[in-house]
Amino acid sequence: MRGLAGKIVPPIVVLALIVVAWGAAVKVFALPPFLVPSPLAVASVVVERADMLFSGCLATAITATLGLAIAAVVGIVAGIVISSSRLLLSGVYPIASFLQTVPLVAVAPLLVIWLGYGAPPATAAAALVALFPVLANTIDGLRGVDPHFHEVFTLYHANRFQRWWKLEIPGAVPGIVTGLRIATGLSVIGSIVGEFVSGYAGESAPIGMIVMSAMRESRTDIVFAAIALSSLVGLALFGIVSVGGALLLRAWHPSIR
Amino acid sequence: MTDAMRRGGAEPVTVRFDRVSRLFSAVAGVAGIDFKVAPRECVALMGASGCGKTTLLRIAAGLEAPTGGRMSFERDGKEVPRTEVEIGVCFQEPRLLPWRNALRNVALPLEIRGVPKRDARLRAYDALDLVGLLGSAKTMPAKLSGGMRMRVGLARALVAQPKVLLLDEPCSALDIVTRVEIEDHITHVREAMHMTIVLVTHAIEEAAFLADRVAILAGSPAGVIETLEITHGSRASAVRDSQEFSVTLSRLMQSLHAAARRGL
Repeated sequence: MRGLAGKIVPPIVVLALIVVAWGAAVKVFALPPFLVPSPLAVASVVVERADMLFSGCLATAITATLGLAIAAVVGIVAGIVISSSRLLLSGVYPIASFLQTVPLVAVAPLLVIWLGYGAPPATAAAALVALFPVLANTIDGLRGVDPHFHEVFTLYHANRFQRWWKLEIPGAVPGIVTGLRIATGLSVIGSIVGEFVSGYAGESAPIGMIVMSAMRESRTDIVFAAIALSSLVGLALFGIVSVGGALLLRAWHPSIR
Repeated sequence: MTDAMRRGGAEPVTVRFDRVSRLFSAVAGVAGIDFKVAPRECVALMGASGCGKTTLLRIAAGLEAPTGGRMSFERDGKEVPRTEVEIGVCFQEPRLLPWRNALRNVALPLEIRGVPKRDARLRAYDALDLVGLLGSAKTMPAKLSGGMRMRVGLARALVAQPKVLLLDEPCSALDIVTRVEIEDHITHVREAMHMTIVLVTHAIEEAAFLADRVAILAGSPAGVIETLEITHGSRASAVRDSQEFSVTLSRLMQSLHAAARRGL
């Protein structure tokens, strides 16, 4: 467990130092609260508005998770299909790469037009940004299997399915896990961008909406609190995916040790 | 064994190179390779690095096609298609799938062949036993030493009871003690399985100990310039200490020097 403590303690110490420096800066330069609130003010607003912030985090976490799940399923399945044929790969992959460069912020209004207000466009936005890393890493993982291993399968006259199931799929798992880890952080960003433009249909406002309305009311302390908590949501999702990936790979992959 | 028998694979196999060429340019590669490895014989291919020994082995394994000539297998004097010959290969690197433990790596050729899981596991245990690794069956490749990985690779090459065994510098990365051990393992199983062996090696001790004949490649493109019979006549581990073995080594060394003088 010394290893785990060694991993957790240093960043916490650094974080604490940053917070202390931040508090000191607010005091020393007498920054007005609507520009930069003190850490204490942010902490107290977290407590005061715990209900609102918690349900906001929950709403955003749900859309992000749902978006991530959609991206995972679509990305892995599409990756498998695309990499199964050279024709598809050369036809579809460049377009997929190009679509990745389309800015999400510009697409989000379109999602609202198509999917209405509330969670659906935010979920779609999360899925859209999370899709590409999963897709690309799945394809690279499947096609990047060491040709030396392929020769072993050639030697024993393996059929296409055996090659796929016993070699390419297990060989692609580390890549897929990497793709999912990248996608996790992006899904929270995508979700919040979606929320900026989509408003909300239910009773509890997601983080994106909380930030927007706090901004209009110059409640910078709430904005800070919402930012901090939404990163925690991203961190938590990232942690879950990382642990899941590590469990999957722990028996053999050099990244887990 | 039953599986191999059903496939008519009990009879030992001849490996024949019929004026085989594999040219990468006018001077690079092998050309006019003409030799036969008799049933149950072991022929070692020697020669300078890059002369095409491994290329010949890969042609025999079906991983590369010759640009000229033919490589074929024969059983009872009749040619048999590659798919009907059980071939085991030990590559220079063991090429174990990192996500499978030793046992499941060894079982892989049987799984691919469609042998039922239980059966495949039992036979994989037998093959691991053969190379003295029964205790490491459940260990992942990353946790095995280099020598142990090589032995798992050998067990995988042997698990389907091959009639042809192709060895590409199986011991080049190993310390001398492990090397001698693996050579003894190979000798031991070759008697039991009636295998025809083609061995690529740089180590004269290995060629002298395992081979019945040594073919020396040189030239550009490379051809077989000399074939030596190994005559010390014993495969017991102790033969390595004998006077005859030393004589074989110096004969090999002289021939390799002569080949080197001719250049690639």
